[in-house]
Amino acid sequence: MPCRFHPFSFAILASTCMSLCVALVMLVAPAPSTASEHSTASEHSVASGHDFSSVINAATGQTVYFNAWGGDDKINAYIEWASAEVSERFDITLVHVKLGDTGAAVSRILAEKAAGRDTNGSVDLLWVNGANFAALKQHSLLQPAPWVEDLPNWQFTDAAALPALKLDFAEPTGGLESPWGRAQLVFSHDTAITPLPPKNAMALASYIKKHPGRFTYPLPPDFIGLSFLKQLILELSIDPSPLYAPVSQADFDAVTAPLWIWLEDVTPYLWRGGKSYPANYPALRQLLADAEIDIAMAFNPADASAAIARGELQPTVRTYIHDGGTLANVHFLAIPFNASAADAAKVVANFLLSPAAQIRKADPRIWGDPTVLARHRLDPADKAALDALPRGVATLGEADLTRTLAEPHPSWMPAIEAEWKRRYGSGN
Amino acid sequence: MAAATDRLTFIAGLALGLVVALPLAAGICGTILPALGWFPALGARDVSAVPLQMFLATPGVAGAIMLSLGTGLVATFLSFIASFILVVTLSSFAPMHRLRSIMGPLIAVPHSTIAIGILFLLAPSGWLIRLVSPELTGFVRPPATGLLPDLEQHGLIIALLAKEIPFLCLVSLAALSTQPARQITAIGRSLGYSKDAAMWLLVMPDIYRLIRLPLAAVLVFSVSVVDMSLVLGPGLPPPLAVMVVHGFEDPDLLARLPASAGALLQGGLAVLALAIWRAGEVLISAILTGWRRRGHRTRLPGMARHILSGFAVLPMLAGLLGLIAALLWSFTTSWFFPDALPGSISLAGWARATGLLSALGSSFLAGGAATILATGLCLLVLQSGIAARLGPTLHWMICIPLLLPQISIVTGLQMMLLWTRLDGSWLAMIWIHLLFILPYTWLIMAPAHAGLDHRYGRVAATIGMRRWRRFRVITLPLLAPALITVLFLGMSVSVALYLPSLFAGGGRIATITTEAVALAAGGSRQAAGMAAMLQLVIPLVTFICLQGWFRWRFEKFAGMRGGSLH
Repeated sequence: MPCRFHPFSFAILASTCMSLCVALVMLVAPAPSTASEHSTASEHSVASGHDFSSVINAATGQTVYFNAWGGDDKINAYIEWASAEVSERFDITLVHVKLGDTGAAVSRILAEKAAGRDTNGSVDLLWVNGANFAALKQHSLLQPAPWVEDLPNWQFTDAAALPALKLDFAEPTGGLESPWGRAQLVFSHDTAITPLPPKNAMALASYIKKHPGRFTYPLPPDFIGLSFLKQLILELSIDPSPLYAPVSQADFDAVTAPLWIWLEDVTPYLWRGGKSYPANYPALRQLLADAEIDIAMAFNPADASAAIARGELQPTVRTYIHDGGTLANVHFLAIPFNASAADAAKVVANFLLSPAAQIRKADPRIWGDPTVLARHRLDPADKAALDALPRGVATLGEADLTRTLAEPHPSWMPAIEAEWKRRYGSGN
Repeated sequence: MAAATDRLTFIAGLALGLVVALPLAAGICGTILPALGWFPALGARDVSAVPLQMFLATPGVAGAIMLSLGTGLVATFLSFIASFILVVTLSSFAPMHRLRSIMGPLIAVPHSTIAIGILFLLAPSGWLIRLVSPELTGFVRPPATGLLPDLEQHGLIIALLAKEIPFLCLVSLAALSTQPARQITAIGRSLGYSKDAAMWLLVMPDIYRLIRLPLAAVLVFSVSVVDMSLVLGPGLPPPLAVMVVHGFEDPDLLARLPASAGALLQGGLAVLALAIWRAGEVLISAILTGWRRRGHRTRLPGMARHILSGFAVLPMLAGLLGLIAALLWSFTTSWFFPDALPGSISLAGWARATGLLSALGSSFLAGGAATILATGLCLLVLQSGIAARLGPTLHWMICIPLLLPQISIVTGLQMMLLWTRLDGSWLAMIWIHLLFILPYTWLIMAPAHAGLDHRYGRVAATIGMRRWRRFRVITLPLLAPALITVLFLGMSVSVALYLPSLFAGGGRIATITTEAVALAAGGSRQAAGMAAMLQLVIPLVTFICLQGWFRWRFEKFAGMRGGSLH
């Protein structure tokens, strides 16, 4: 893997030294605060409930800059609803900062740290997972103390049943990010045009060659675009186990060779000859609606149903997953180390984890993002409301969505991105 | 009196220094220093060519450079030729005068809006193909390969033409009105040249000399365009400026060093484009001189002139049709290929557009404040007389934002904003808009101010009218037509600013244009259509307000248009 930092490694050295110093100081100095954290954790539900009311009090009147990918109208509309709710309930102003790429916010927080801006940061709450979370954690850009399990609504989750709540792309969350929703890669096709879609990587390759110009994927580093590449490599590898350890421990070229062979074979037959790619999955969905392409993909199993309900996709569109299963993960909310409204950010995260907010989010007419809460921990009324949600015409049943593939170690994502750019970034 | 003038000069100088020179210098240094590897906040203190080498190692960078240069030169050359064809035709062919009334509003349409329209019109599944499918083409689904021009380059050129032809036309017509064109063509005709030939050979070369600055601005913009490419792309490789923007979005902070080198390279590319243009100028002028010396009395058939004018109008027509397509999409819930019109329309999208409305508000606020401040600054500078002292230096300093690619200034400015913690603040947003509006304001106000008849002021002074009152009661009303133009143009320029808004907004402040580009690149067509329509609201509302205000306030001065007392 080409090392990005190489020519400036002394700078990284310096910043590592600095964070080391900070870590040392924190280890040595505030012994009392560590003690109090322990006591909070042990007295768990009662104490945290009590503590949280003081958090809510402190949060009153604060403004939360919520940095979240803003490329999907229905997600934006959901966040608008949430901001009206927290304004009414807690007197918190929630501002949605719409990101094109979450990496931009990570870069901003890193820049603030480099500039010594340790308080009053520009990001209060960040929608994040995978490689971006790993980067934030690695550079100590998050709230230093775990806070997630102190949220009152954490009681409705079941991390034993859903380990991904505490394990983000194989990276332990350490209580530094609060689960928000679940995702699984699903493909969609128009049954009127493609009655029998290809259901594994090899079948997809021959489909693409038989139907030139009718398949594409979002332009990496788009999250879905890179996820599709990871899906391919998991399917094509005989032994995917190296993908679950850091990339530095593996022979990158050997492990990823099947992916590049597949792409080499297929790229000339992609939409616009592989010289242009849609920016993200809503753009991909639009191409499916326009019948420019045959197959689209999304990380939200209900995305196609919701689009059909809005009239944006043909009513004949259905979804499917590959026979060997597809990538599944959890997405989270994190609070940067220098957030200007950390208390209010926690209140917002707790609100977004509440049964009311989670049920609304799971409604395919609103967003259709599966809940992170455990059904068996909900009140009967909430459980009934969740069960009563329509699934949507194009959404697969729970049983079909059990075939999942775990996310590779986050370090693979930037490595695959760099190699993809090297091979295809110039459009040749 | 003298003391007061001195004080005013001092204030004007201070304002120019603080508001214009300081941020420009900061922006340029903020690009050059990191490009050379000097960025102490990141611990980078070694001046070297490493960042440039790293940027040049980006996959596809050679293709990106060629693409930017080719697109910019071709688009500028074609818009220049087309605008001259139209100007020559307009000067003699009566019905073409209607074009002028179309072109006025067209120049107020932001670049990104035009690009969204072109995307909706010319994509393989766009409106144009839908209108003729399946009846004429047999397509029941959009063609998969080969048949259509690719949007990333050809679509971009068409979009640039749709935007720049009306601009260059209006500029040329304004230049033409300062020339004794009728007398010159009369002389030409008496020598046996056709009217068109007289225009082309005798008048237009002078017009060309007068519009070199706007042409250079068009060329620099076209070589470094970002928003239109984002809407019509993303192709591989992207244009150089888009590649640089991506570099700044890299989570790795050190990627800013090579990205800054890219921004610097973009500046160099603009200089190269200007040099190539200059070489073309020399060549064409030599050919034209030879042509004139030989004294050919060639006559173009009338048909040819009409066909040429037709071609010159086509991009503008495409721009207008695209706007109609965007309007249709803004009301559309379902519109599947190959239907010529939406299958179902509703107001539901507009009812949900609250997020877009707040972005619209931000645009109004940033544009309004920046325009008023820019106009005020111009008036201050012109009234103080500092302009005369500084001479052409002042002129060139104010025009820098027109002659350097936006990305080369804005990225450096963002570094400074980050450092001063002003990024994402309204102060930064309004300031950066002010910088980019000021050249336009200046280019209109300076000649208007120079053309003022100072005898009105002297007469008023003799009857004891004070300085401030003279300015308010005499100068301002005399400048009213120019002021109206400046305020309208300022708002139009401001709403079109994509890169400056993106970088100054720091993600915290979204303008309607940053929203529109994001939605067009990946979002529902309906939302992108709505954003495109809302972009038009700003120039429209500004126009109506200014008209109303002008009528109400200045009607009684209608007869006084500078000129002489006699």
